[in-house]
Amino acid sequence: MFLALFHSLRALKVPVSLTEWLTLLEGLSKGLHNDSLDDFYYLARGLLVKDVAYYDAFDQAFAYCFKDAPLPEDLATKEKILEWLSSPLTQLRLSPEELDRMQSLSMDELLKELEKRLREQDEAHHGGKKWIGTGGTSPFGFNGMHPSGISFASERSGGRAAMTAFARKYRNLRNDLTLDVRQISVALKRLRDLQDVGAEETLDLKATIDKTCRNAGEIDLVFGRERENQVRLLLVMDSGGSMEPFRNLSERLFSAANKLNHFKDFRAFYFHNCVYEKLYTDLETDESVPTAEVFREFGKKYRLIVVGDAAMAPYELFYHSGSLEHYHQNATKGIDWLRQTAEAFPRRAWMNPLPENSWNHYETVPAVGGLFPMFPFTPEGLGRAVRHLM
Amino acid sequence: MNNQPFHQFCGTEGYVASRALQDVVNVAIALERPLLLKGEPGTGKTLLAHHIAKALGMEIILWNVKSTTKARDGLYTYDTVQRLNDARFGDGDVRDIRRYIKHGPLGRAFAGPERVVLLIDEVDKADIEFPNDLLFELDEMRFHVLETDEWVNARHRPVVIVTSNSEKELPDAFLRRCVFHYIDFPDEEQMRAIIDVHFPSLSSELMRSACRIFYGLREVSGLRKRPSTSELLDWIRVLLASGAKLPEETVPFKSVPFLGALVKMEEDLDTLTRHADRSADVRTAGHRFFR
Repeated sequence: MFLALFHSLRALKVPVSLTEWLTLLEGLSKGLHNDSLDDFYYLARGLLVKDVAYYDAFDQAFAYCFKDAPLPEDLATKEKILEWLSSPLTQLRLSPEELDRMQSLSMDELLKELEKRLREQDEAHHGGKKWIGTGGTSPFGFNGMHPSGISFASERSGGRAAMTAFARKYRNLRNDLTLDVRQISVALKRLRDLQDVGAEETLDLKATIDKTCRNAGEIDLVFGRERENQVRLLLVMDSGGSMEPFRNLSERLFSAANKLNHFKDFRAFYFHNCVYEKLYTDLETDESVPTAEVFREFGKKYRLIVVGDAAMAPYELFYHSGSLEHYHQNATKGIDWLRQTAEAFPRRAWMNPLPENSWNHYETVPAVGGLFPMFPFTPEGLGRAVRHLM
Repeated sequence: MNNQPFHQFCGTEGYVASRALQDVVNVAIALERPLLLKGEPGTGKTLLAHHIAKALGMEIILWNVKSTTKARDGLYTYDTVQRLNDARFGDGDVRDIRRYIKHGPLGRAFAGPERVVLLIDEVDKADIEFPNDLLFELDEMRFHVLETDEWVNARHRPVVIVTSNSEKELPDAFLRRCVFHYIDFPDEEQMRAIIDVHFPSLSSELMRSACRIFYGLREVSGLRKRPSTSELLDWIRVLLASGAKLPEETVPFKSVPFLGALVKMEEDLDTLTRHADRSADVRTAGHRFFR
């Protein structure tokens, strides 16, 4: 009878394995549930769910199986949408006129339209102009090219989607997340410059034996120094705005670098749209440091990885006071800040989450690419960037 | 099947455990699986292990994991230098390699004559592969000493408690073998019970205003480190020792006595006393993610 729980957990994407299920049965056979539903609840949750992010899903499944509560409706809808989207098509190219025409839809109009189409549409659809699906020019779906559309995907979508619908709920989809953090970790591990540091305190066994033998059995201990990675890494990430669909990628890069315990030092800063006179350390409190101080403190010593789509409105890059925020009353153009950044960091790379073949469609990407060696944010591109940085 | 007596953990007089927590602890003990604890710093993850040991009358063995810790360190180390030295100066029997094998925390937990509690503290600090390297040993409860070609078998399966602060995941294979529990931050009612355990004679007026200030502080946005249970207890201890009175009007927290006991970081003190508009120090900045 409990199998229903197992299946609804799986349906809600909780990664429950057979091993864990058998452990639960073992627990039941030992009477650990004490014949009480509450104890059974804690027993099952402790054994089946290994991440607090899934506690909510577990509660839903549990209520569904034992209290006859329905599975949440919006969730069922989302499941359906995600299913439609699960077979993506290749990217579509649009002419600038078409882009302009589509950009004119406002967020409210888009949401209203989405609701209407959800009611009308009842099957998966890919590559068209209207229905929710992948690879088309409909403002809804993903991998599409509608510039202000609503994206259902949380990564690698092609257009500048105005909102990433449902991303929150599915952010923690486990498999792709760990896989990606792992892939990134593996790539970053190659950023390595081992040097002997510290006091001579590790015993070099081979040299000791060798020397002792030469010494006719008189013990002669040889100590060596530890080898430590000398690479310092500075990560500067564009956030918000057109980068919103790629937030997961930035998060993964950050957590991979942060968790790796591999670098001599690792720092991360953020910017909006373009690097200006301040770099943010915390976007919630808007805490920042002056960019010039970052150059002075970290330049030359650190390797720099910038993450951004470099797809700005041209005025943000090329005109004075081009920044969106009114308090940037400075006389330096965005492109000049980027040039200074490039000069301060001789070893630098720019990771761009936009597909490489679309870069030339944006005026600003080649301009930034002239200052920073630019690589696509793919496993292969990251590998190239790392080789370039060494 | 399990021949151990069924241990029932229901908290101790020094530790208030929620029903959920009691249940998972007992499940982990009965199924002989490692118990993985996560939760905000200061929710008593480490303390729990000590109190389980106390409640069950077992010895506790600590293994504090550091960034340089290798899985093998927990099993045993082979003291080559000592052996070479002994060979040189003719001390003892250097042919007996066993004399130079020193058990680590896990090794001691296995080899001991009694069942013990083994606390593997802050497992996320080590290399990403660290938990995976221990899978075999924790599963089979034995390990192989390469130098002597001997197996060390656990006489009793220790009660293994693993704590982690990381928000990111541990390896799946490791997770599959664990019992998992996330310790929620105590709500006000639970907190009163906890305070009551530590300060039985605290006046109800002080209890009420201390809780009010504490939970008010935790809701201030932008704090680097929100005060936790252990800080609250320290703070109450200071308040009692000094006999200070708590003010009625506390926002913006400037007038709270001994604020430093609750809030440890200078930037946070700045935030609370409204001096936060200076920019951060570039030498220490850039260590956090924004969400």
